[in-house]
Amino acid sequence: MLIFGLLFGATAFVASAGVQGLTGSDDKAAGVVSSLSGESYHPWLDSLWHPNSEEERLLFSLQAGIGGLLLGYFFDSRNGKKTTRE
Amino acid sequence: MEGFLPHPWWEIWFALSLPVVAYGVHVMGKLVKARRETLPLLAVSGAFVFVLSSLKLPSVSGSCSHPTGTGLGSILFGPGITSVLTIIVLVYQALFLAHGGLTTLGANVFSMGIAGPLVGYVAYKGATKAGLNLYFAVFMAAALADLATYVVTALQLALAFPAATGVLTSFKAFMAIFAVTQIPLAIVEGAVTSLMFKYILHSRSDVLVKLNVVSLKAVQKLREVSV
Repeated sequence: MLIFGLLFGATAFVASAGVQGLTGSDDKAAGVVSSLSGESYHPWLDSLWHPNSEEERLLFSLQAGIGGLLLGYFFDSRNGKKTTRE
Repeated sequence: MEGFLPHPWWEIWFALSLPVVAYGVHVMGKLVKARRETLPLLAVSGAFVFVLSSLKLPSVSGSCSHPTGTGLGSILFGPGITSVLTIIVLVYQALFLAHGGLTTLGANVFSMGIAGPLVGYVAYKGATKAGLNLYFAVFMAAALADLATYVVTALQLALAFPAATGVLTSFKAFMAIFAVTQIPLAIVEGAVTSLMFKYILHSRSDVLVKLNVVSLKAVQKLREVSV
């Protein structure tokens, strides 16, 4: 279970390193809004907290890790039942 | 992005999404009480959204995006329950990652948690009724749920930011970004969801039959093929 959590967390961390420098489709959409209106668009509200790129990578990895833990628990419990039956 | 959708659009999407999420909470509560054995699959469906939507993947157009992971939940439990699973992920991303946002939560829940899963659910039911291969049906449902999410996002943005020549021009402009980026990711998502579904089918086919996801006949047929 723990291995799955670590594995998924690490995968998300490594995958996010591969896309650094690429523009997210959300950011590109913001560019389209500006080009449609002819002036730079500013949202009417800003987030209270903005993680920097390293913090963002870690938090996405944490998200994947939490999901991985749950998936690992499911895989473990199924394999455990199979082994017990055998 | 926080504060990205102007008034009245962010309120409209909240008004459309909240009843569906409330219905999803109601159905989920009833399901867990009546069929306790579905709880692990609910957790797996939520975990699947958690994992896949955390992955930022590169795409063909030199940009990157996220898969949604909602296809599995929509196949197993339908769009109502999937909207509940999705809102949990979206709140986490809005609060801790400044990704999405609380004011855009209604719009994001509608595209990722309701419209995408609804398309996936209809695609799965249609494909299985038409007698298509079960794993292909899952692949198609998950890929279409992913694509539909971004088509609806493009529509939401086009409605909020219409071009001088009309909503259709904006929609085309937003689709040019999302469709090109998302098609390869949707294919990957479809394949990963099929593999996950295969594992669940082999380990908990009894629950899938009870949930009317597959028929007993289809499970027996698959067992005969694999023997």
